Amino acid sequence: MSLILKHKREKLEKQSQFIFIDNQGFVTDSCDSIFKTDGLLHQHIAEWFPFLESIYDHVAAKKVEEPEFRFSRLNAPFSLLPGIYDFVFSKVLIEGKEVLLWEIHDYTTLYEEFIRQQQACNEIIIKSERINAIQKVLQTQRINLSKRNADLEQLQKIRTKYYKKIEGGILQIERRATPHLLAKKIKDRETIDYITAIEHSLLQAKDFVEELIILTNAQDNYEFTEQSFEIYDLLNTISFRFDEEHANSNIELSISVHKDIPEKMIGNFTYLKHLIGGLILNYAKIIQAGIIEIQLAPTTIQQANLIKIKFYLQSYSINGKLPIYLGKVKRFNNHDNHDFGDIKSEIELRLSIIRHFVEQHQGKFSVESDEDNGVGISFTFPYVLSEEKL
Amino acid sequence: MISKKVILTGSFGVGKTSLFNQFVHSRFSDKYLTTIGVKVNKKVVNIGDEELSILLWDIAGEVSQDKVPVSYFLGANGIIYVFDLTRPTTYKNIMEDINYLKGLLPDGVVKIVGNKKDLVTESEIEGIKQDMALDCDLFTSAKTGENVEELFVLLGKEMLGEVAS
Ligand SMILES: Nc1nc2c(ncn2[C@@H]2O[C@H](COP(=O)(O)OP(=O)(O)O)[C@@H](O)[C@H]2O)c(=O)[nH]1
Ligand SMILES: [Mg+2]
Repeated sequence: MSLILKHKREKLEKQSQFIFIDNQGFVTDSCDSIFKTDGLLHQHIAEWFPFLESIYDHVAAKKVEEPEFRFSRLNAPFSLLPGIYDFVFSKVLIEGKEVLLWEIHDYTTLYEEFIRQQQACNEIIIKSERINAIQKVLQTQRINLSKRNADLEQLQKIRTKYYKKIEGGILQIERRATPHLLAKKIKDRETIDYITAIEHSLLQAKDFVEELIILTNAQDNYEFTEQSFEIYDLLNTISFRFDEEHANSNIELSISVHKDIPEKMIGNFTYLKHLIGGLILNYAKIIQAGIIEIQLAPTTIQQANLIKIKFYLQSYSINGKLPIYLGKVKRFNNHDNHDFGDIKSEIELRLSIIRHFVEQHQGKFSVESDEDNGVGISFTFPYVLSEEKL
Repeated sequence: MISKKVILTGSFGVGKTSLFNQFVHSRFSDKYLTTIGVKVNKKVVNIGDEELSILLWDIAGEVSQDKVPVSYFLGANGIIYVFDLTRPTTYKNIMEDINYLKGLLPDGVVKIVGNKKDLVTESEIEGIKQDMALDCDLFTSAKTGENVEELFVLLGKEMLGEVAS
């Protein structure tokens, strides 16, 4: 045999395996180039693995003259076949006897690059579709919000500005990703990473808009019928809602109440529940992990029946009780405006939401963050003490 | 024991592999790994007091069903057509796809499933139902496992009914 033929045979031999099966479904011969069959010879091939079980009856019923059956790209069909294979079944005549021939062709290496390309294309398509869907939701919400009263104009402004950034981001995606998609070829991870970042920002935007809607709904439903309620009821409700939303997260809530805080006060319970609950949930999104400690303390009492309560939120890392420091929060303090439309800065955006709502409700808002003490935000609201207590 | 071959099909990324993994191994991963070709596994389900072995074929999602190799459908008893409730493009061609599949498998049972239920609200589902050209059989979440077992039991019952008749 010529050297080239010898070389070719050696190389190709490793890529496929031929197996003969008798009409009882047992292996009579195998070249074992890909996997060893000896341990399996006593078993009917339909019992080898589920793929064979599901097609055995059909391939066994084939006739010699019928065309072969090919099953392409079988993905790890069996523990001894961990890659990607084509199976081909045909009936052949061997020494005058009909035998089922099962060919196994190993295409694992052939498909490696193909899988990478397909994965990249699919990811981009899925992400672009999601982004479009979120964009639609945002558009309808914009209409809803613009129907609301003039009080919300300020909010609407923040939102519109944010929305513009998003639209810009979507244009960028289209410009960057479309040529890749048309060519069905993504050269590097860069485009995918970029789109992932935009998708992330959009999801934040969606969250943000949803929060605005919850808060503005709470505001819409705010009736001026104030009644007496217990501060512990309020805290319990807030902590219950927090636990519901953070059951599987890395954030814990701890609450402490100063002894001078009265048990009862006057206010709109439902509204406060939404507002304060919303502010705390927002804060939780900023720190992402750790313990949030809410401290309720009275500030100066100006009138006999009026108390200002300070909600102080401090966050710690879960294990070491080290305060969490967020450099970005420091930057927030240096700016002194509400203009936080920047798509990159979620923290600032969330803080501006909190501040906006606190100030809208005659509250005072402040935030501190430094490397020694971590981040703390506080908001102070004035409350009327309940008559019952006085 | 009776065994039936069931094919999971539908566009890429809709959650076929996730439904497969949730059903067969009771596990879920957020990471998306594209499937190429086909992966086959089996699980035994109890239908009333009968045991049914389901041979499940998870096949690579193609945008259009007529791109799926016909040999995959050989001997199938049931088809689960999956779409993604968060991506309208995955149910845009549902009518053509279902007609094509029913043509391939005139005696098979076909179930239409909207997956990723955990990502949409009830009112969004109502909207999608109205938009769709066909009725859905179930809404599932491969992530939470909601309606996954139910899907296979429902399908199993119908496939066994077909045997009895
Ligand atoms: N939230 C959610 N994500 C899902 C669900 N099913 C699948 N996914 C995700 O969707 C992506 C594609 O899923 P996969 O099963 O690979 O889709 P396939 O291409 O149809 O096989 C993966 O990132 C999954 O984690 C579901 O029910 N809920
Ligand atoms: Mg898949």
